[in-house]
Amino acid sequence: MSNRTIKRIMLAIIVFNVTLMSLAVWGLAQGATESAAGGGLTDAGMKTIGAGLAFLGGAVGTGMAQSRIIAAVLGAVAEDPGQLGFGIFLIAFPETMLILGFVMSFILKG
Amino acid sequence: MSYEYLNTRLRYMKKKMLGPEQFRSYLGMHELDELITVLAETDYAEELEKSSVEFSGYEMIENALIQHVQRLFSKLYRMSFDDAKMLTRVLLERFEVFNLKTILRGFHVGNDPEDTGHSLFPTILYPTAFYQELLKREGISSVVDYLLTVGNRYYKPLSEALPEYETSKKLALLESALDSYYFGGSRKTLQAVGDENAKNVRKIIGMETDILNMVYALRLIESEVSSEEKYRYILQGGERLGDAEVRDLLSSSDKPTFTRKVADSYYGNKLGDLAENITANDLQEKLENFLYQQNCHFDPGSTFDIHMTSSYIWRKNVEVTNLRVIASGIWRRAPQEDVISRLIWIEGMMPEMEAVKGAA
Repeated sequence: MSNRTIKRIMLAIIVFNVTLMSLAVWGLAQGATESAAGGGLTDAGMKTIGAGLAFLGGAVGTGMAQSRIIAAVLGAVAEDPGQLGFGIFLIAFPETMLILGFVMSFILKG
Repeated sequence: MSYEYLNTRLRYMKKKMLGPEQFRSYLGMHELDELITVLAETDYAEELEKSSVEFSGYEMIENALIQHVQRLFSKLYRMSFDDAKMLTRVLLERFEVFNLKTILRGFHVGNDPEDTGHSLFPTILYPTAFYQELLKREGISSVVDYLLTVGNRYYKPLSEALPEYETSKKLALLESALDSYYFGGSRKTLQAVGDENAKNVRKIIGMETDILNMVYALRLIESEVSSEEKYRYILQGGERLGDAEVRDLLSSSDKPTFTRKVADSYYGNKLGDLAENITANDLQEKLENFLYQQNCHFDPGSTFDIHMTSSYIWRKNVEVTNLRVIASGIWRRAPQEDVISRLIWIEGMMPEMEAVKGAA
């Protein structure tokens, strides 16, 4: 496994996370616009902020876990390239937190 | 990069180290060829193959071991980063100081430089050629001059202590100057880093300082030195024994008083019963064995700190030293009891000593 391939995999993961994050920010901005138009913080606005926070928590947690896992996986792959498959699984594993946050934000938005 | 990266790689490197069963089988061997054949199936294969082009027999193993340590320590040093690199350097520099002291001692007692060369530990911070050049010098002052020529930092403490050494011929002056410079410099580096990892490395360095101070104190008691001069060579920065405690040890009137004081200290519990008339050499052996046990097991399994790097360096040191002892024992046809007594017995790395003795 070359360094270039590893960099590509890392880039794909970053792009995926940024896309999800952008979606959440977009949702939050929409909710805020709606509540501003209504002249105060409405239930819908509160729900949107809650949804954003639920997603944000998952994203931050995933980022913290992945930063350490990626470093460890890079170390393992440097010593034994055969560990790449299992390494990618380990890198992807914390994404479940992000997905849970994403699902929770949908539930909150109704 | 982070400790997770470094420590994951170290786990792989640690897995390739030799275990108790391998050492047990090596201890039963009578021919160097047997040892070379089995070592060629381990992580030493690469170096043995390279070494076989130029050398044979014991020289081949010796050269392969040197290259092996240099490859792994260079790799470890390259893998380290930022603060971890500074801490690794402090840990590795200990071997450079050990080598410089060995060379000075060799010249002091008029040893054959080739024999002194065999006692050096393979290192990476200074190249092998550097030590070869030092061994070619005519004497200690010439060694110090060479250090100045190549811009080695240990020139400074040695050149300061040299005039006094030349009049008194006390090797302790030079050894103490080197130790003080290394331990003092290391403490400054560790203070600058200042985090938990630096504190852990400081513990290791501090414990070694205590051990040097205790052995030094007993040597002076053995030589019945009573002048105030003896307090000059106390190394600062001990982990368990501060300046006052070391002074108290040095002021002991005789060996029984000294051993009682040591027994009451932290090290008394760790060393077990000490004979009242223990020699400095025996005490040094006991303390060094304790230091090896501590530092080889200085790894609570945490992935996020310097413990693993430190224990790896010490374990590799023990592994290579023991292989050298075994290979040299086979080569010289030394009795197995001699080989067994010269090995470093670390629990988990080496087989049970009693079992090996019984089999012998």
